[in-house]
Amino acid sequence: MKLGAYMIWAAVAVAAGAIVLLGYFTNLDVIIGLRLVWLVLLRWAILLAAGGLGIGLVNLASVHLAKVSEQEPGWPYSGVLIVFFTFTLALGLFFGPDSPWTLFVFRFIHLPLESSLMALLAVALVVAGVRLAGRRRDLLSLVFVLTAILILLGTGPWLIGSESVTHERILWVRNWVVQVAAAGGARGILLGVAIGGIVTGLRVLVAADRPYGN
Amino acid sequence: MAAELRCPMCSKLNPPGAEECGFCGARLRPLVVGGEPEGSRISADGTDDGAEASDWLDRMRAGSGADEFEENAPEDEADSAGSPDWLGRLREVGPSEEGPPPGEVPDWLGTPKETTAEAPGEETGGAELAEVPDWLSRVRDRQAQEAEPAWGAEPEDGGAEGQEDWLARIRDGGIPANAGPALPPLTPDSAVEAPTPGGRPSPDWIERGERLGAGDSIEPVEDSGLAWDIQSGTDLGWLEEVAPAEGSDLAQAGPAAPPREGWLAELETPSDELPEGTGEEAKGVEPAASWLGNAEIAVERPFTGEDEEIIRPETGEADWLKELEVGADEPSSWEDRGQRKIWETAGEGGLGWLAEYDASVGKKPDEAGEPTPEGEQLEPGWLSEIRAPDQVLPSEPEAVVPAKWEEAAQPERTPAGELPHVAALVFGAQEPGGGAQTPDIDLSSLEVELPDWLGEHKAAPAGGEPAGPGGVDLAPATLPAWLEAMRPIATFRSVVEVAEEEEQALESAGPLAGLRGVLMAEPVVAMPRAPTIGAAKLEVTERQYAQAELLHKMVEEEERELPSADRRRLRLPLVRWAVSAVLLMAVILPITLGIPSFPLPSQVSRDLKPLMALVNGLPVDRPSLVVFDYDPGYSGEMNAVAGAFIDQLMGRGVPVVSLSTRPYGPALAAGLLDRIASGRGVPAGTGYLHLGYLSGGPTAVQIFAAAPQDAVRQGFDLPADAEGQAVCGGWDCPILSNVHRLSDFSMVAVLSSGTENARTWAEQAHPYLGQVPLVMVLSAGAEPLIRPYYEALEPQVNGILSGLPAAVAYEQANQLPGEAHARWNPFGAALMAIEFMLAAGVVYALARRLLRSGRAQRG
Amino acid sequence: MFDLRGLLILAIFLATLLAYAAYGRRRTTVFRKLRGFEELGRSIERAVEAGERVHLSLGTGSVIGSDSGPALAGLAVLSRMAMATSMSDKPSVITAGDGAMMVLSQDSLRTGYQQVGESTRFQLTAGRMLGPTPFSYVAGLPAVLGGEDVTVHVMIGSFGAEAALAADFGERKGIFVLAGTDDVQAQALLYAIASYPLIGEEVFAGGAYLNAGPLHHASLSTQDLVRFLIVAAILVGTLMRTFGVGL
Repeated sequence: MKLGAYMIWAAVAVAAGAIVLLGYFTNLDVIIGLRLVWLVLLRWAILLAAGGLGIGLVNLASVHLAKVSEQEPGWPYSGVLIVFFTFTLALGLFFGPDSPWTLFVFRFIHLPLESSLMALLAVALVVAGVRLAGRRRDLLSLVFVLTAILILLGTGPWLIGSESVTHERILWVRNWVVQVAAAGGARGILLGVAIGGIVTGLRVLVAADRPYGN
Repeated sequence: MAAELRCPMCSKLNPPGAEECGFCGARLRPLVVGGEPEGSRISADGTDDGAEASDWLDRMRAGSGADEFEENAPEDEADSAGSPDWLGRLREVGPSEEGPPPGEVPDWLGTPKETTAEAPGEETGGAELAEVPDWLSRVRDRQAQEAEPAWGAEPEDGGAEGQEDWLARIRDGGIPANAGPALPPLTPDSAVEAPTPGGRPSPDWIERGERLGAGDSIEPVEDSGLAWDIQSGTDLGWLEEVAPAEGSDLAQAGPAAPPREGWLAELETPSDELPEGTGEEAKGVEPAASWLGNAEIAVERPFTGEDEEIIRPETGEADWLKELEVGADEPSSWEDRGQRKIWETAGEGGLGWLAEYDASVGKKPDEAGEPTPEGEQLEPGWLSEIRAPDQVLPSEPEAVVPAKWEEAAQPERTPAGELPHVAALVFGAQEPGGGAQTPDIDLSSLEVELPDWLGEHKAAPAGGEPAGPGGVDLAPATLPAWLEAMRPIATFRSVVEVAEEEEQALESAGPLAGLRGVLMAEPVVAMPRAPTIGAAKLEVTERQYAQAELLHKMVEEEERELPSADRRRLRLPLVRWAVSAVLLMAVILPITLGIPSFPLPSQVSRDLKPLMALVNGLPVDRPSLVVFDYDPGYSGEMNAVAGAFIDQLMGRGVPVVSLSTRPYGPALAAGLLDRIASGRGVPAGTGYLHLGYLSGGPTAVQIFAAAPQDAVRQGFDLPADAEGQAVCGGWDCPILSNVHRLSDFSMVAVLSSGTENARTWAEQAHPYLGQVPLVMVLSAGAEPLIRPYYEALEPQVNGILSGLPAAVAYEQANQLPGEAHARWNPFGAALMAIEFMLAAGVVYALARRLLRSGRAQRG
Repeated sequence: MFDLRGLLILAIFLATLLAYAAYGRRRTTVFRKLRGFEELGRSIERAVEAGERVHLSLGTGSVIGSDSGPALAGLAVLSRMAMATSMSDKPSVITAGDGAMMVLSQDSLRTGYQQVGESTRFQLTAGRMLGPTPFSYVAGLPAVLGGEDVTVHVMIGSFGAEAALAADFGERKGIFVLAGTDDVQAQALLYAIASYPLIGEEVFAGGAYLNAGPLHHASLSTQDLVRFLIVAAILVGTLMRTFGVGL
């Protein structure tokens, strides 16, 4: 095994992960000072996450600045982004994040933009649903689309016959599908995801995976 | 009609008067030094004067006077009737006589002498050499002693072996008396004129002659067999073997002769005195050059098989002699051919080819194609040149007439320090002896046993007249395969015509500046030249052809420029546009026109009542924590659903404290709470408060759950006084005065659009809640995964409100129609439209599949 | 106090992982075919040969919390992709919705290049954060897919509903789209939109299918074993509950 500085980083990562993990299963007060370390590590993680956000914003700005300076394809959009990025950052720095100006920008620019993207998602989902049965010619895809139609029928109001037995039965089926079939399947998926997450975390704890690099 | 000229290179007929072959570009008329040979139509300037043209050889042959060769003419003249003592006549050619064009006569051949008008058939005619070199004299003497000269009459039964023995006999017994005329002495001063302008470049041996004439030392050429260096004493080839005659001015004027070697040394000395190789100066015999055999052939001596002794070169000495086969070594140029063939030998065995000359003597060019008798050799190419129609051939050597040089080539020793003198084969250059003219070679005096290339000279008309009205057309000799392969016949036809020297451009740049006749690289190199001879045809099978075609297509495909793929769809996204339009209409119509109008849900879900009861039972003196953990994009749904819940809370007077684990959460919370509070008249700071952003994700939730005041230090959008100053800083606000732990809140409500945040709060905060209820206000999509927390035996979630229908029902139950009610009709219409579109897509896919399967079955 | 059950489960996981790692050295583990990862290899090869770019999205989740699980799986895929595309004319581009995840992606990319000896080809801007929020991240994706000449679009990380938009952008461009996330909702959306969706824990199988290391194979085997144990436990518990046997 090659010796190098990466072993130090791996040792730090393993130690920190083990302490935090133990903190979930044990009362660290048993070991003097360990709880304090646990708290410190947790807070450092929070700080690093916030710091990472700042680094990400710097990276964002630098990428688009490079795009503008080298006039790569789409550089005008990068220029607009940098302008508004700078403007919003200055607004928040000077007036505060809870100032009326910042809230104005959020409510009347940011919020509508994200809502529009959500609307686009709805359209994209509908289009995908319309084409799904034709694109994937298998039974599962057909069941998928039919289930979606059933759920929609049971979720939304009926223009006509909302008091009918059919509607009631469809509503019952919808609830069963959502709360039994879908929930059970989702729970199974969640279990699998959780197992995968645990094993992935263990790989990091034993330093088999070193996302922090060598 | 003038006779056509046959190209010496490609043997193709060219129109008369042509200077160069139209097929291969070779020069048709040899460049003769010192004027035109008698009878030759080639004048000094290269033009055809119409006079009888004869080459230098003819001149030498015709101009031979009384000389030793004649004296040593073979006794048997019957077989060699008309065989001229051509070699002897070499010496008779004076400088005034026409000889080969200037510059093309090697110095060793001496000054060409004017040919006489003697008939080539004269036995004793032919060129008389003014001086016969000693070695030639010795050769002649030796031959005279021989009973059977090598080049005697060629026996019909194929006496090639006997014919080839002449050289051996020469070697063994010395040169017989009738060995043939001695070669004209070679004088260093017999400078050969530079090649005529525009003429073909002189062959090496001529160039060496030029240099020799200039007094320069000539370095031996390895492959030519010619080795002459006057100064350095290196092997001078046949020159070395030519011992200057005693008292011969020519010989005396010559430089010191290098040691002789080879068979000519044997010619000079008795057999027991034959030098062994070179370096026999002690014997006073200069070693002969190995190539001497060639030179000896040039001697004007009729070849006879009786009189002449075949001087065989010793093994290893005359390698060229061995290698040469009959008809071999046909040079590429007339000069080379003309000159070299003089020295052609019959390969191993010596000069046996000379004996075969007799059989081919007198043959017309037309007879060249006739199969020669067995053992008979074809006329060499150079002789074909000699046989050019416009050229007067020297008198044909008589059959089996021993070369006079052989006769005269008694083993006379060249004085030490002197070069052997060999009469020049061409004339024009002054001999050092002072005017001694080297006679023309009188081929007519040659015996029948002369090789083929000489043999046809016997058939040349007397007096140097052209061979006939049809012209002389010498058949090309039979070349060995290896030589034939080297034969550059019509293989290359230079596109670039070499102009006369005066016309050639003077190079003005580069390292060759100042030189004329510099080959231009561009026109020669860059110009594509198609081979005149078709390339070897490949045998290509069909499979190979197909593969080659495939490869060619692949290469073409790679070279083909493909248009860059336009990533953007060329087709309009009509389906997307249609779906968008339908959805827009479904949403806009109910808002604007109020149609369609969907009935409100009549049934209340079983989850609603517990939630309503829970909220209705909350104390009003303790604030409720509302966590805004949904994205701005979900604000359309979440504001409607959460609004109903918060509206009930504020309606009951429960203080609301907002928190968010998302950076934009506080802004969302501020917007929603401000709107509802303003509608309810709830004051900020007392009715509701924003704690702000809790960074750190799930970890932060755990920290907050354990110690809320440690996790969040400062609020967000705190109430301000009239002066704009914050009334309180967060935890010191009155609304949070009694809150120190998470369990101090009356309720914790998580507003989330996803399952992760809801689960995080359910899992992380539950241990710290105690009896405080946890309510989930979710998007419709998150409900399935959060419901188990709600429906568990020990539920971690105490209330759940998900989706717009539940929110509408909640508002309806509270009799507080709000935002959810306002969105009910658009919501219903959009859902209905989506249902129809999805159903249409399914139907279309099924129908298409059925149709295709039907077509497949039918087709 | 000690949560013995938790510690026991943790110990089982760790022991199984290490045991499979040791067992895997002697015997090759065979997994079922995942079409998405098979096509991924071919698509990357095509992209490298054609001088086109490969894009990997690590999602919008944070580096801390449960969002980091699929993102770490994405980093394992990234290390293999970096090695495979190191010689491409256009190096891979990694995008994330979190700054810390962006930093990790840069480290993994650099390590991948170092392993193949192409450290000089690493560019710091190859790892980017497109936006702090999920939809702002998705809003910046078309510029990357279109302007960077991307032909392989891999999404392995924590996504929400915005994953559907991200996959839809790739599908509309007609490029190879492989998408996987831990969110169930997003998985349902990706099933409808993406060409090669990863359902369930398949998002964690990337390292094993791309031969990132022996422990990745061991991880998959561990997951399978524990899943079967959980299934067995569920069945037993259901039966016990059905027959009134309390736990």
